[in-house]
Amino acid sequence: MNHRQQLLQALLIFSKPLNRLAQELAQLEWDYEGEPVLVEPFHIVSILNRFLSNQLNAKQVEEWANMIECREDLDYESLNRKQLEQVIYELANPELEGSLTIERCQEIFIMFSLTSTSQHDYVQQIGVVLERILLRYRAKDVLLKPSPASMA
Amino acid sequence: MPNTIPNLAQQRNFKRFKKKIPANAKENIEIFMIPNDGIAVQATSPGLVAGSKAVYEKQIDVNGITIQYTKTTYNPSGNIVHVKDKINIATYP
Repeated sequence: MNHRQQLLQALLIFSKPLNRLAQELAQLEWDYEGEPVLVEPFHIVSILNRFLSNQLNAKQVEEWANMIECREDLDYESLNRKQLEQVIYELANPELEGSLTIERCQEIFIMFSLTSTSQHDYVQQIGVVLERILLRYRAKDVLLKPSPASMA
Repeated sequence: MPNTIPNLAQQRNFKRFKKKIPANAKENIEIFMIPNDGIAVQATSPGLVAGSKAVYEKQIDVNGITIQYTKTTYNPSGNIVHVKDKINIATYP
């Protein structure tokens, strides 16, 4: 991972103070046509969780979103692109879209829990594992010829 | 307002600009010539709060390099709330 990618990851997880992130990001060239770092639902959910637990205030969330909005070296995860783009826009523009509220945070959580690819992948993985287990048992005729005892 | 963007490098930069601006600003883009054959591209994003808006402006030099990128936010009365410098990550006032 190069310096730009490390810095962008630090931005996405908000692991440094805003002024330090700003100072370091300002050193990078704006124009960028390389591989972008992806903004994913968990980045936003994590920041909103920190907002709800008073670790971050609304101004900090706004500044964070403004650092993400329009950056050429960041892109949105493709399956949630529209929602991610909209949420970052909302967070970056409270004067246009209204202030961040607990209710809106909850709506965003629900939106991402319904479309989260990571959850989808998890369910798929579980399915694959279960199928393998079933195949193994079938190969041993365990499920095909249940014992009389198991039928009782 | 020019009909086309003068050169290929500026066109490439403009394409990146258009890709990254908010969805509701993509159809509200204006292009202006600036000194030394540069261009300024402006996209306006209307807010949900009636009358409010944000104007995203990128200035691109003749070589296709971004020399300035700002977002200016206006309240419903048409007054500037603030200007955010995207490159230097600063807010004015």
